[in-house]
Amino acid sequence: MSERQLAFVFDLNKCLGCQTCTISCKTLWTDQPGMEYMWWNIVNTMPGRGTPRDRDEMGGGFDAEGRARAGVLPSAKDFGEAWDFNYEEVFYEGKGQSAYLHPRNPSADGKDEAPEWGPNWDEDQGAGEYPNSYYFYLPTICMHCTEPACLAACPRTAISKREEDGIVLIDEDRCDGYRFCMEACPYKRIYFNPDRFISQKCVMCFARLEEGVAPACVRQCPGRVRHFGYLDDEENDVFKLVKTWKVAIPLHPEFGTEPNVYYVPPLAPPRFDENGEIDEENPRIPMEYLRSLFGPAVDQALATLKLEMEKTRQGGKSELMDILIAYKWQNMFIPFVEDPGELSRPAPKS
Amino acid sequence: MRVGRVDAKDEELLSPDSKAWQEAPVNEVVLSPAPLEMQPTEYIRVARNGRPYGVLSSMKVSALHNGDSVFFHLIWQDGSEDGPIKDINQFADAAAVMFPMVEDAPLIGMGIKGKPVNVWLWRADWERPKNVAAEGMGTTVRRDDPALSSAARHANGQWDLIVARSLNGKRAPQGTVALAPGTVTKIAFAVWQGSEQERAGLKAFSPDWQELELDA
Repeated sequence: MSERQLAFVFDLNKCLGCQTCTISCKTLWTDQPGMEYMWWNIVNTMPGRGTPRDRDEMGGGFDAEGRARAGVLPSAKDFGEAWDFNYEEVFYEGKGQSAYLHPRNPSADGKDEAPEWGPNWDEDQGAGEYPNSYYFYLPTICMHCTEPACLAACPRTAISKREEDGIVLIDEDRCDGYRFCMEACPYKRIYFNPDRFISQKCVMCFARLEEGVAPACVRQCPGRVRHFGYLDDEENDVFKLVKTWKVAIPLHPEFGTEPNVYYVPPLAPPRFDENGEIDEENPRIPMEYLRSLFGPAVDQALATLKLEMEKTRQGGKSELMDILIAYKWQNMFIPFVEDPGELSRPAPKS
Repeated sequence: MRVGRVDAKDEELLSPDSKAWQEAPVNEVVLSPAPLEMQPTEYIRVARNGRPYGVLSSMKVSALHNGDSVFFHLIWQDGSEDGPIKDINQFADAAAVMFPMVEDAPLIGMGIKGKPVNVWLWRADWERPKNVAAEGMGTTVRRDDPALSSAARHANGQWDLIVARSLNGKRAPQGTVALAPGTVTKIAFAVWQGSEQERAGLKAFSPDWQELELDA
């Protein structure tokens, strides 16, 4: 546990699955050789298998007694390899309209085979039968856990948690590429760079934070989904949503690592019953499913959200709804409100 | 273990089938898994509990020098050749020889603060071995060592590895072990099977130092 902790709240009721967060991270951090398949930030459709494939069944984290749990080391296929596209054929071989751009399976040794899997492969598939089908989007990053299983697993003490803000970082000079951290992370948010033979993951844009700028995924989110700040700052959205209103809760609390990304769980329309009538008693997304993701706290979180929504429907005021609506965008990540475009920058290295 | 002196060129001693090796005495080195309870993190102890590693029970070692360089010829059984990895959940085969930098440096735990050990680490995906300095588990520092070279071959389910290094620390980085003709030191061995996801402390090793006597 660190002296202070920076934390995120992702409002799943506002996430549109546009992956702008994903791309902002990709362009900033993972555009170098060996990082092609990396998505430190990823948004998955749920219910779904996640990225990497079936990540919730891959173990890691700690059991109820706080003992380490064995985990699986995912393959690049599980994460989804970086696809190759037939640009040459489409743009330079004079085939006109007869050739179309399509991805190729990178493991097919140059053969023109369709990929079998990729990140967020099961996009918008969801679950349930019409008219009660449902899905929602779940963005995940390194959770910068209070009890990081990756840190505990590393035999080289290459992973540290910063006292001043709780950011979990891998020291690339100490890392020898053993990948125990990847096995031990229950959220499977650590990647391996085969070119540099080191493990890599979200760094919470620490270099931006040190200049007063919010993380790229937070600042770039067009849906105003991401609240960010110190977990002990009582004036901050994160504190109010997590501690005061208790509507933001961790994903898989049973993994035992005390993650510092919190989620406002998804509300859903009511079901239709067999007669096609609206069944207000039963939510479209089964509560059992939500409990399997967010634990028992999800019931109270959703009840609070419904109550406060009802209050505003009746013409009343709700501090909670005002926070979640995020009228003023910059208020979502106080005190990291600097505009990166207005900062002076050091000259690029030659 | 004796390191006999031969009159042979480096090239010959880097070739596993050469006459010099056919005539060199072979030592059987007994190996055992590096104990689970010695693994440095709880995660590793839990994850490998009931999942065997380091099952290789012995290896054959011959050693020669030609007055200029010393050569260790290691032969061990390994049904699968694991060279450069093709996926991120794969690991390369590896082997190491270790020497104490001071008389009483402990083998278990790879030295201790103030009593370092020195390792020559070969890995099947590297062009040349690296020098590793350690003062206890988790403290290893790898560096390139121009005095080290190797030749490796995997055939018929076995690795043939020759690790060579100049004598007297010639061309070697400062602070690394220097073997000299006519002296006695100690040596230990370790092997990692990549196919079993062995890496770090998950290995088969010789649990006791062996005396190493270099002919004058």
